[in-house]
Amino acid sequence: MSKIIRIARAPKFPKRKETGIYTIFYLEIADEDAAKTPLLYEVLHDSEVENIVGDLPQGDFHQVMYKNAIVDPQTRTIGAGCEKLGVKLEALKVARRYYGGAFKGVYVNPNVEVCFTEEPELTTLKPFGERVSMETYNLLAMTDDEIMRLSQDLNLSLSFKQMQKIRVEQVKQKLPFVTDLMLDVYAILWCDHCRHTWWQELGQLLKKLRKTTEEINNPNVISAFIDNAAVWDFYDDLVLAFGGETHNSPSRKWAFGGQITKTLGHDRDIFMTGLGAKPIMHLEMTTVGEFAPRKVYPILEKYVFSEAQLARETIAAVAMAGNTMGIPMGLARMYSHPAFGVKPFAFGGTVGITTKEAALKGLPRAGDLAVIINKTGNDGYHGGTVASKTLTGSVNTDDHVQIGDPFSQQKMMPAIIKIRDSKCVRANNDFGAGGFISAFGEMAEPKKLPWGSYEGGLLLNFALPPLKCAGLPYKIIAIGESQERFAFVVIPEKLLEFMEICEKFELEWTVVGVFTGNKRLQIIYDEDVSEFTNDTPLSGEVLLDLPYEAFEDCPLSEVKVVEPPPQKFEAEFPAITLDNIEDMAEKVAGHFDNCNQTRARLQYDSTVQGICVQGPIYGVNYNVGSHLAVEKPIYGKSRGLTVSMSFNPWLLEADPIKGAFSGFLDAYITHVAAGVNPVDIGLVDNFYSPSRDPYAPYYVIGQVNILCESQKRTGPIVNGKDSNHGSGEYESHVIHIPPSVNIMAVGKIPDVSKLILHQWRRPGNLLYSLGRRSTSLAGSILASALEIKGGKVETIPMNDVPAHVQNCYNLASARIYVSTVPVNRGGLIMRLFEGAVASGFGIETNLCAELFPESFGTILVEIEPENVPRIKDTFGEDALFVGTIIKEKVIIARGQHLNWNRLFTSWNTRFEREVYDA
Amino acid sequence: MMPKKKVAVWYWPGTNCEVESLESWKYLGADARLVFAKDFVSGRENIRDYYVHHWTGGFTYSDDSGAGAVAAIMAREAIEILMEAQLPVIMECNGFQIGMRSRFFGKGLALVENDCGEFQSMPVLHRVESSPNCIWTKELEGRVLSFPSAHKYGKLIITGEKQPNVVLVYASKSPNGGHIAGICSDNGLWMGLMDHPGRPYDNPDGLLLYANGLKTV
Repeated sequence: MSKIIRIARAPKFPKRKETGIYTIFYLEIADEDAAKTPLLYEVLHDSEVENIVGDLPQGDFHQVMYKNAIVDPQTRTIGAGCEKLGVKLEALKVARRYYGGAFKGVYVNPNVEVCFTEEPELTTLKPFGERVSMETYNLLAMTDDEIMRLSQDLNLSLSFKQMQKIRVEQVKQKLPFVTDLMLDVYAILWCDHCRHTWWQELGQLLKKLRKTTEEINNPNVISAFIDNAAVWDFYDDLVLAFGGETHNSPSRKWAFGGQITKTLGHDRDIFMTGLGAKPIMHLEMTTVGEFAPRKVYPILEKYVFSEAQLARETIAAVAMAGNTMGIPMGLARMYSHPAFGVKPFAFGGTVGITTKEAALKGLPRAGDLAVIINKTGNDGYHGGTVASKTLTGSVNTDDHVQIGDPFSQQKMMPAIIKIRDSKCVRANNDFGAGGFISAFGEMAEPKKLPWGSYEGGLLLNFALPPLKCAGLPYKIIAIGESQERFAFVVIPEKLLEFMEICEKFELEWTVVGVFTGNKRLQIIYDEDVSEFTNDTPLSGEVLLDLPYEAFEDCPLSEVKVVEPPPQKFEAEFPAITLDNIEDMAEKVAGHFDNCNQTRARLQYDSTVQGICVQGPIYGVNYNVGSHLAVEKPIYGKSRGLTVSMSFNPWLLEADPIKGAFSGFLDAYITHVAAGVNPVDIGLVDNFYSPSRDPYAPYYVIGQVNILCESQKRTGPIVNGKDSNHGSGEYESHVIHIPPSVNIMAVGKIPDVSKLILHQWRRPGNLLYSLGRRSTSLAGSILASALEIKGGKVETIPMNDVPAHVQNCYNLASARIYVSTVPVNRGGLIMRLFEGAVASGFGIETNLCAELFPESFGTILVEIEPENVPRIKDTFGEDALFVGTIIKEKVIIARGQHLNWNRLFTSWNTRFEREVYDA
Repeated sequence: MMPKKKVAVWYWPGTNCEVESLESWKYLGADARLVFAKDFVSGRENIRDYYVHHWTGGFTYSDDSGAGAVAAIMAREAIEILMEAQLPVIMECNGFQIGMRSRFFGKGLALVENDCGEFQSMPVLHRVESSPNCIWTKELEGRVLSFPSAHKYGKLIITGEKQPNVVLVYASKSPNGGHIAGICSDNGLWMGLMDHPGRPYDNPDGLLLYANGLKTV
């Protein structure tokens, strides 16, 4: 018999924000252990500063805790402490109780939390679930309308053509019916998120990118678009693994959960690249919607929580994930654009490192064991399929929320390296979208790679995976996206070695099946089977038994490519003169995308692992956002890793195709300008498109085409993802995000001390802009601040790119300049302002209107006066003298002092105001 | 040739600074090993085999229920042996939080949330204060050392009557709002600080502290 005890804790010396708030631990323990309750106080409170509260106060309160279906992440850790103190914990829930006004501003997420206003009557803390039988459907007896309704009712996101194909398969396989499990398996294997169906429908865009990468044949590419991340040659028999992903749908539903699982999810991709890699850097970019009051899309106010809330939860989640994992933040930036109020663009990137020996994606052999690490829960069901659809105000997506637990995953950081080096696994995969079916199913597909092949085939026994709650339906076990799980292909003779490593790092391992080599995906439920060979017969309840070929030939829909009407190139921008230059400069510096975001960046550990050279912030007052992250990832050696990112929502709105090109060039040139050899830079794309926008196909095809052309002239794209449901419908009001692309670039340099970084060195030095400049304000930060749309976006001509890149690199490697920054959002004026803030110096310039266009791909360099001839020889009229660095921290434009305090205050207060004061 | 001095960098589930710490000790020429706390508890490893012990940073047991709370309990038998053995111990960040919950520095002290309520990762200057006997800061008095902070619960407050043996104070903006950056036990052997001397792993300033630990042995 068990009993629930309640232990409440409060600070002895509460700060103002803590007054009236209690932390309550509900512990379910054996009846006979109840008398030992006082022993647990030691683990639950610090007696120096906290009190155990016997009787909670009377009065109105709100008590917030996770719903019963969710296992509190603290259960395992606090449970370990309780057990050490002699009390075995059966279940735990942690609540926060807020009395009176203390509840003001607290957000309760109805997807995962419950709020009590009276004493909760808890009968058990254990999450309960029921293992129900599979639902069956005879598709042959259903009409076309009925099978479509079935897809909608079950939240499958399967199209009519796809449902028809499944019906045909029912006949082919001679099945009397299909089950909900089978339908869910099809749904996840054929969803846009996993199969990139929309991109296939647009003309096999992914294949196009991959083909271009292959044709470029960059010698650094070890593997591209094959594994969970790109693999790129580094130095000293080491390779880099990198890529990025987005969690746009989940972050709209529950920002904290979506963002923490985004970050942890991509870390898992790195862990499971090749035979195991160690993450060494995080990148963070989130574009939220419009802050209050919403002027452009006020309708969103009714349906989504505030962008300030989303922003705060994003920061908290990304910090918790990265800091707990011990992965340093390299770059972090937040943007705001009204359309992303539908679903934010929630991007996270990870860079990892591993040995060349372990670099290639592994392949199973028949007889290898399928082993899972960690438990399976009921969170994250239909995550992949829901991400593959448009959100509306009415779609029920409660079930797809994922709960992240970085502590469980952090234990894998040291363990994965031991597992890799022990050579006891032949392959591995992370659990992302699609749960077991993706994690093990992908590894078990028939596959031919340049270095080997596998015939295909997998048998799983769903009686074996340890569960977070009792009795999960089979379909949820199959495709649920419960987090922090890992899939391994273990060599049977080395299972013991694998187990020992897991035991050492307290990782819960379970053998759940075997790779059969029989080309079939088979799932059983049999409590009597726990050992496997590749001949293990089907027994118990057969839940699924299909050949892998049943999942091939996913039917595609026809997508109409509609050319948009001609762009309006006329747009009236105000002339920028000395009369208004200060106003314009303030708009640029105080724009959310440019403002001081240090408060967020300080919350991300950027020095853990002890390898940081330049992180997300630099400058004498440590408050300017970097464009280039730099690390020395090999202890004892000066080898340098460089990373950049580029995303420009306003430019992409003005011209999605030129915007994609500009972002690509920006991310790439940042490395070249710093002195990285142009051939040593690899790139990653993350597309986020509004598939319901009738013009989106045209734009996305254009974006892919231009990126293919760009990479032929610069560096290869080695990894990428597409998320295609950036539209929302609210009371028949449809909102589309601009067709968007985020670009991440990763470079290397043999000696990191040779890099040229951002900070101005000395007064008297001269600043030059290098490269063909834009004269247009279309798509600029200033245009968005002035609420002016239209105009023609200008870019460096594509054919000029190779010469421009080579010129920049020649100057950098000859160290003709001493500091450099890319000219991107905010134009030259923003670079001058940041340069002054970072260095403590000032700038005197004869430019005025020229300071505001955003000339992506150009760079601003600091040179000693004697190097001017060399700059001019190399760049000719594309070298523009910008100004002279001076001692006093001011910006002087044509003799006019801009009001420094005004600019600085605007820059320095915007973020606080929008995110924290709201 | 003198044998290298053995240093134990302790590992609990959730420790995440162990690699940088090991590299720092190796850089100084020590024979640094990663040792699981549970192995010290079980006796599989012997505390007295190591000259110096390092409790490094992380989020042991996710800091659920309080920073360092569960780790202190899980390793209590080993901690008692360590205390009895009177060996040098440097505790940084989460290691310091574990040390506080283990009462290495006695009662009347606590580490609480930073005044700003947020995690702070930033470069920080620390001034070494005079101390009668702290082995870790010996001959460094008056020097200003630069190494970064990375914590959310790092403000040291005094809740009792006894003043701690303060060996480091903040010489630039405090990440946590407090003035005290590091303390030492009365026996001079156990130092606790929230910030990270071993970042980067070859930090010439921060490693002066670690080097002192090796010199003493």
